[in-house]
Amino acid sequence: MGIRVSDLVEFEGIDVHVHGSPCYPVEEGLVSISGEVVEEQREIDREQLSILEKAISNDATREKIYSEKLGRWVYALVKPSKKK
Amino acid sequence: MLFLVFSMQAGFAFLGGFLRQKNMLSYMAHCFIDSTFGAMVFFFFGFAFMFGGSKLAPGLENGNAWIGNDGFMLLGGSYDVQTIMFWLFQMVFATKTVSIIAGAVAERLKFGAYLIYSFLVCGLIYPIYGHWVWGGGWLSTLPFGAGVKDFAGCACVHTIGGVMAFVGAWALGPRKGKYNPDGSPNAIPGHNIAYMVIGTFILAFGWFGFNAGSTLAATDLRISVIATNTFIAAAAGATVMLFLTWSMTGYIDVPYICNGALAGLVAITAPCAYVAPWAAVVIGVLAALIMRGSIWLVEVKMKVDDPLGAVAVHAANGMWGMLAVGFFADGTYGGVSGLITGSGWQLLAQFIGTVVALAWAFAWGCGVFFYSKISYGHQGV
Repeated sequence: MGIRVSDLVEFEGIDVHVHGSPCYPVEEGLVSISGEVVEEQREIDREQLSILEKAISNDATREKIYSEKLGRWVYALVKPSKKK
Repeated sequence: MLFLVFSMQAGFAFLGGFLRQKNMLSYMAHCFIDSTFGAMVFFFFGFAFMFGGSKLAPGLENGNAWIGNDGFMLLGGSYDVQTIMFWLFQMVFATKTVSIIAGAVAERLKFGAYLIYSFLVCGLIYPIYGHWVWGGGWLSTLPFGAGVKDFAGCACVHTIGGVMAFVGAWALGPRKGKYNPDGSPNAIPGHNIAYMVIGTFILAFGWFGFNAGSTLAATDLRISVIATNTFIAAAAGATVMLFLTWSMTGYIDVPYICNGALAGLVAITAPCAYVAPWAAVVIGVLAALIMRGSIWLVEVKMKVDDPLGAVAVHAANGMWGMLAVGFFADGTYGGVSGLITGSGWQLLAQFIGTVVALAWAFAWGCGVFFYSKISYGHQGV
């Protein structure tokens, strides 16, 4: 027993080594109760989003435009003036 | 009042914002165990060593000039509403003393070692010195002035805690990267300065209970003077650091302003009941300057790494506050008259009390920290 923590503990932080968790955990994906990252769930989410995007792209009432406000491409309803 | 003092522990915990985030939980854990584990130690025997023989409440009759031996576990005659209320108030003082040390040894002390120091400070070091000043011990009955007067704990709490903090930081050595090969210090920035500001606010709020509660009677109208002096000293300390850092660096250095306020609060702790508000301003101003000088002395000249400035705020200003009683006490309360009334005897008593606190804490600190270091080696697993 020494009174000072080892170099490794000092470098990586006492919180993780002594208390088992950082004070401010980094949120990286979903974590199950057992502590494992739920990769399967993330894959399902990705697939569902791609199906949804494909369905919207085939919708004639919508057009793909770049939204300056949101800073990304969106499928917006076609304005009445354009329909004519 | 005691509930206000208990809130100070949250203030101490928030000061951890000045540490790196990878060690924040560790520092907060230290503060939390002080309030729980430390309180248990004080319950079992610290309180009895400190106030046995003081006769300040029922069941505290047995003790001598050096140590008390009555009131263990609040059994027997001390199982009394007045004594138990008194214990609750004094318990939070004991736990604060240990929390001062936590700031200086942060980011590198092992948890087990901290438990040992918490045990020793709450069980022996703080209570025995406290008995000498507050428990009817030999310092309180010195034949100079009114004996050693430490109204709310400049010596008992802040000097003891601050000096122990200094020895702890010294024995541990600096954090990795604190000093360059040529000995010049590097700043290790904290991760959340906002926490430090919140912590200072909470501590200042709790200090009203810390000082005003030390009248031990809510009917004592001197409380208005005590509370006002407490606030004024803090405000003066913060104001000095505001303009000092602004003029020296071009920036308004928030951590220094917070430490200026805390320095003023520490320094006014002993004289708060005995001095006029104008003197509280002087005490606060000098406290901030002493704090700034002490940080330079400790960090740059002595090369002792004290992450939260506990030595400069608590040790240096604990001693200054004790001496301030001898300078500025105006004789309007408790029969305590300082140099401004023409009497130097109180200053002599305060000087003796301060030197004894310094020597007592330093000796214990060296014994405990350096013995641990030599016996078990500097680096652990």
